[in-house]
Amino acid sequence: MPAVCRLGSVARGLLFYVRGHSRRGRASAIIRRDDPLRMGAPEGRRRRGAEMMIARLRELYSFRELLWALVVRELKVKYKNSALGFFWSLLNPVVTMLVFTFVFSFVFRAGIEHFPLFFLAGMLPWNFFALSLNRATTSMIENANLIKKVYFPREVIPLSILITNLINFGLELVVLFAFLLAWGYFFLPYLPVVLLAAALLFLFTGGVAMFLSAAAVYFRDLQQLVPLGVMIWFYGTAVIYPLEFIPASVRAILMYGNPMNPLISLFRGSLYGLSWPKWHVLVYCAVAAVAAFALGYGLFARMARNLAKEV
Amino acid sequence: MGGAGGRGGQNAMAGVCGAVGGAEGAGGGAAVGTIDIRDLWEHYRLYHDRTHSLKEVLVRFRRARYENLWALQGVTMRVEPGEAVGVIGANGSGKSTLLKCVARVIEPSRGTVSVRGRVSALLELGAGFHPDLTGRENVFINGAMLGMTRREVRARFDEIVGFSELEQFIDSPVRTYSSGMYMRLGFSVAVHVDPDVLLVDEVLAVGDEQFQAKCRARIAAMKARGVTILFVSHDLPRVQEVCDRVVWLDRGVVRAEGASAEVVQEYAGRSE
Ligand SMILES: Nc1ncnc2c1ncn2[C@@H]1O[C@H](COP(=O)(O)OP(=O)(O)OP(=O)(O)O)[C@@H](O)[C@H]1O
Ligand SMILES: [Mg+2]
Repeated sequence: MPAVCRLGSVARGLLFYVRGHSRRGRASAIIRRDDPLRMGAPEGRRRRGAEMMIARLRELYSFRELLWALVVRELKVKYKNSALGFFWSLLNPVVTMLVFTFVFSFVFRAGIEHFPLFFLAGMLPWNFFALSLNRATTSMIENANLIKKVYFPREVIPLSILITNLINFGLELVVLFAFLLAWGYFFLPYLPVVLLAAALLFLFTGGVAMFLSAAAVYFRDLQQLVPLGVMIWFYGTAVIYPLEFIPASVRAILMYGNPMNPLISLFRGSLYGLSWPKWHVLVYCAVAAVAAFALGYGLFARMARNLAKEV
Repeated sequence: MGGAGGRGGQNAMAGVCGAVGGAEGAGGGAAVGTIDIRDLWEHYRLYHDRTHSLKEVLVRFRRARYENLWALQGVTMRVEPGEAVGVIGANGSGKSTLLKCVARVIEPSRGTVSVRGRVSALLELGAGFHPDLTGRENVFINGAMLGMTRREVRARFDEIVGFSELEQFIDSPVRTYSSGMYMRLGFSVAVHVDPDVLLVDEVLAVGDEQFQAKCRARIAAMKARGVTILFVSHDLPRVQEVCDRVVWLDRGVVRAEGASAEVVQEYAGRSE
């Protein structure tokens, strides 16, 4: 499997580069700076990672007004000059839904009951994920001027995109809820699961998006690669088809190799399937989300240090 | 001072710096408005044939083709509260780099920079302005970037707009502004941050003659109020007018330092 080998070496190359990058930085200079936020500084290395993270989060909290201002900027710019405003963001899933409904009910005759509802319950969370990744990847480069001239914790930029998309996602969900109730899907008892799933989806997406936003400054090709990768990822995720359509042997690989599958199954299971999730799925989602967030944030923190010089 | 009612942000940062700076024997907790730079080194990577591409990274990630360019090579200087210090030097001598280190935009490669108090950096006017948003909306966003809370911006909003003299245009998108108007608004927000430390990097040539005079008056007023100023400019007469003291940077090292008139004269009459 040469393709797989290649992918492996690509991943290793990326990791090496990122690690080598910061290690070289450390070796080349005796850094003494009165700032506990610096990850990887010599005295910082002795500090516990958790302590660094808390200091960093505390500083981020003190910049919450900026974060909010950027979210408002995103939303305003998006809906400023359009009469229909927010409804444009609904148009995309609705049109996709209509197309797939047509394809599945007339062409393939898949026989999924209330296909539009089935579809939206998976498509909305996927859209949040995909849009966030694509936008985050270009976000640092787009805001280069800001990063070069103004100090603020750099995670504010990808986070503002995540929060903007989360707000959109929330609004779309409300519309879906109305549809569900109209079709007699009484999902309200499962609402806590949906909220938990949204939180986990946010963490998972956040980790990947933060990593990509900083990595794209160093590897500009990511701007082209990420949309491509997201598209491939889409077909490996049970969004337009139910996971049960996949042969059982491959299903386990898809379910556990791709955290988006169990995450989306949480949404779909509660909203469309009206059933409680299995414990192991919930646990797997939680572990994957927290791990992705911690890893993504950690790598981000390393790369963010030189962002103003490299962007 | 300005920091009293302020929120986290820069103030929290300054506290951290101050604490450690004091431990180093600076005489225990320097006063608000002090800038203390010690043996500051800063390098950039100068890429030869930078491709930024994945292939490049994978093929030769072990020997990325760059060399270190040391833009600052052991700069030590101290600015006392309320002092106005000018930084002059040829193009590429490291003035902007120095200011960016003080503003925390970039981190020192080596050495320490500690700043006590709230910093406002005029490195760029109108940072984060979005062309499609109105002047009013942009004032709030830009204010947040410079570390102001919404409450603070709201309280000073009329003052900011009044200073820029753009009352008539404040609810139009800034893409409809002339470049001078754009700068005016950016400058107005920046000088209303009410900082303890003001960093100015060649942004005083803003707008028309009348507005420039207003900017100079504003800077003088801030100085009179005890704001520490670090002032980078190629406009030597202006530097002499604003600054008590001048530092001459030459290829990353301090070549001369002292009373404004003397250093400016020395710099103006430099041989090479
Ligand atoms: N992002 C960067 N990447 C690589 N090199 C840089 C970067 N920014 C600055 N430099 C280099 O660092 C050196 C100092 O630049 P700096 O901008 O501090 O000069 P300056 O004194 O402000 O000059 P000027 O008077 O033109 O504004 C220059 O040689 C420049 O090429
Ligand atoms: Mg400069």
